[in-house]
Amino acid sequence: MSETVGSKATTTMLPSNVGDRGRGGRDSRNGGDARPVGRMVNAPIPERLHPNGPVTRARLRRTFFGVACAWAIGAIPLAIGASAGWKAFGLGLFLPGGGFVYTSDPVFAAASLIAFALALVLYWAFGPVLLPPAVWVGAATLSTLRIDTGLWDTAQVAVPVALVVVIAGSVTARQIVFRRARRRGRALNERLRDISFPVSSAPAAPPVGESSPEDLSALRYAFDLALQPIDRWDGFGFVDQFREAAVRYQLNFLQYSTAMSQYTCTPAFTGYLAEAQRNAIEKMLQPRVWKYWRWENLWGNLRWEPDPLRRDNVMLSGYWGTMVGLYESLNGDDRYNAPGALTFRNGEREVYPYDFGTVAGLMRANLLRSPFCMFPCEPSWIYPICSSYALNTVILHDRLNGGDSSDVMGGFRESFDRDFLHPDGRIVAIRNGRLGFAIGAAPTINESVLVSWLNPGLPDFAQRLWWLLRERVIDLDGPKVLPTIRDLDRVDVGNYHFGKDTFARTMVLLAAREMGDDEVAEAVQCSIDQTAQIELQRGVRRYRGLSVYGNLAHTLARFMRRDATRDMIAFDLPAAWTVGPRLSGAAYPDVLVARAVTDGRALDLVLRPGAGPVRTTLALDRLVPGAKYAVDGHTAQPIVADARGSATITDVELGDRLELRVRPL
Amino acid sequence: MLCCIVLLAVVGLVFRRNGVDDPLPPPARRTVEGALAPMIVNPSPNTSAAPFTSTATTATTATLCRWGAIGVAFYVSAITALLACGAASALDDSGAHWLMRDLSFAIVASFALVISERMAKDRRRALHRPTLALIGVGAAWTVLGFIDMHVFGLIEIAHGAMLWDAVFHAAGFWAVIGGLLLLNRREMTRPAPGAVQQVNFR
Repeated sequence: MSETVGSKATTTMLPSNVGDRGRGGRDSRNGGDARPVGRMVNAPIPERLHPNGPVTRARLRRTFFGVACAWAIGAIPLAIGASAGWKAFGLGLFLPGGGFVYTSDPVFAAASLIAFALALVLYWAFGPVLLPPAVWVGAATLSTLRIDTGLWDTAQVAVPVALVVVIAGSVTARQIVFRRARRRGRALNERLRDISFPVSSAPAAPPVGESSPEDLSALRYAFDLALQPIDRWDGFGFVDQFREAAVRYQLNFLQYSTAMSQYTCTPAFTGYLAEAQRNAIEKMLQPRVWKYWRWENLWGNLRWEPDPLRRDNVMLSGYWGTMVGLYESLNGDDRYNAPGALTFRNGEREVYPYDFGTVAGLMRANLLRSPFCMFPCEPSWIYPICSSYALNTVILHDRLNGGDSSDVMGGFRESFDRDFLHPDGRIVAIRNGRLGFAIGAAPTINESVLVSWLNPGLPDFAQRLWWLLRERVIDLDGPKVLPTIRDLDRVDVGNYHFGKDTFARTMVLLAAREMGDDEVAEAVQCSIDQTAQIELQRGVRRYRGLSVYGNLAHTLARFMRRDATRDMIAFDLPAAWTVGPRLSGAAYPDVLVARAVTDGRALDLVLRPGAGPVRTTLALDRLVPGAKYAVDGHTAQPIVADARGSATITDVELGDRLELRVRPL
Repeated sequence: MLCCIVLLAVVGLVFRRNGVDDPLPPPARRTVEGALAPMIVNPSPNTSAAPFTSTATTATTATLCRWGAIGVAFYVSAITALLACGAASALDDSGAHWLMRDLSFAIVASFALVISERMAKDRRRALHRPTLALIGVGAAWTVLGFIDMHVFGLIEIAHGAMLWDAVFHAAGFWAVIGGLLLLNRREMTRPAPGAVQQVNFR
């Protein structure tokens, strides 16, 4: 991607349809437009000469060679005039069900085709690599048992001809789609030529906002889920542990949402907020979360290796690594760097010890080892979304430990441009890493999620993706905001319920917030509020009918601001945040912390009661040992830090919103 | 794409919770020191099913395999009875074919039994066992009936009458579907163990 550093005066700074308000402030969290712009970058869609990138082409050639070998074997009985049984088998190798065409069994032929399609779907869903070939060869074999029912000799010509027609039709359709996409891409590039995207640098002082009562009640849903004992799962959704409704994604977004609330509103509060994040991380070590992998690895990679991290499975490892990195970064707590601090244990004999360093090392190694610079979730299947979390794990670890992730970021970008991008800039959502072919998935959900999570490492790419998404999907003038949303975007992937697009809208909301496009964010939020019913019980707020995953993603979106994910992952915290006083303890749900920030010496707090008026105590740490502090807003009596730099503020009357300032005397 | 939609729709239908949201988690409590205060949890009628344990899953699979083996025996006995009373007729008199068929079925049943015995540590932990019987026997009936009639071509029902043929196959199929639906329903409505629990916080 070409750069026009410092060309602000001569180029359009923003996508034309993103108004200044869109990059400005939703509230004080956004920080307005005062944020420094590191550089301006043009991000045209890469020109493509072939429908597929080089690595994909190599994979497809290999796949075609393998299938062509099967066809060649199938042609032998026809060429040498073998017995009817062998001919049925050979025709069955040409096409699933081809043998049954020869044996005059149209119903079985159709059933074979359907079974093969179903096998492909199961292969996509759960990864059993032998299932499709087994169904194909199995149908060919079974057809040899039906030669007594009458033979249709014309099938010896019709089946190979049908095969040729299918291949020619597929190639032609692919070419037509490719050329259309390329034309669209060129038209879009004409417009993108005049647009530069601002790539932000590290914020000097990230804006810290104040949570509204609604924000706090949404956060309480996350806290109540997270603050249970590690082995309890009340309120989590259990459907299956293989696909998107798996509990691991609920845990991921439980941690991301609480981490984001900490970053944008309460960076100087640990207490139950940090504990909630730790619980989410450590629940991921429970066998019921990761045991699914032994089966997927067995039938997908034909390997008995229950260790959930060593190979593939980025759908667990990448997301989890990001959780650990965020926790360490925001809380200054390196407990997960100790060897074996993150140990998967199933009984006494099955123990897989890891720590943050080894997890990040595995992410880096797996990314760089793959020619795609991405690695699979389910065996064979590469999802750029999941690999983006692996990338973020590496970025977080390198930032916290002084490493350099430019090699991984470079490889990832190249791979995207080469093999995971359509000529019109849309994303290839899923590609089979072994065989090379790609399949579609919920496009709006996929691209919206990528906007948020690619922004830390590939910010110009993320902004272009958002620009394209806005062009294609969003209509702020119409009543629906997202009028073109359809198909799989109408599924709540957190519970597989079809029919509503609240989940997709939530993901668009995430992307809009990350891009600072408040115009879209507000419109999407309004559309969610109009279509989804809000449930409010004992101070806990969530959307009815939306999965746990969806609700937690919405909570994450609540606390986001422009470049929040990027700032939180890619850049160090301000020095003042890492040394200044913190609120280290407060009773839950008595005390809800709406704002907590330090300038390195003083601590500013905004508190709200969560269970009615209460007289309570607050615990502080990282004070200067032995120093005296005034507590503005509470008492005239100063507090004195003990030898460890801790102190408590007692008898705090919390009846409504309360501002406190702890400052050194 | 269409297949993906169909699969997700099927998964959604089988696992959907009839519009019932996952229950809210019980309210958590922490003291200022971060200590956990004990509390009483009253599970609502909507409380999600008690979590599957790996033992329960293994026991369920073992029980299912066992019922599958029983289903094979039941199927073979039923076909023998139908042949004897004339409701079914043999299309192939070759003793070798029938022997091969019987041996295949015996191997399948033995395999299922062996798996069941190896996996089963405590079958009492299995999910609702009568429902598993419905699924196991229904699956065996469906698969073996299909193989007998349409792969080996050994028998026909009521001299090939389409209606009875459909009834014959559909019986097993609907037993499986009914079993799955019942199982899903039972799991959704199964209360968490204990009507009122003391949550044992750390």
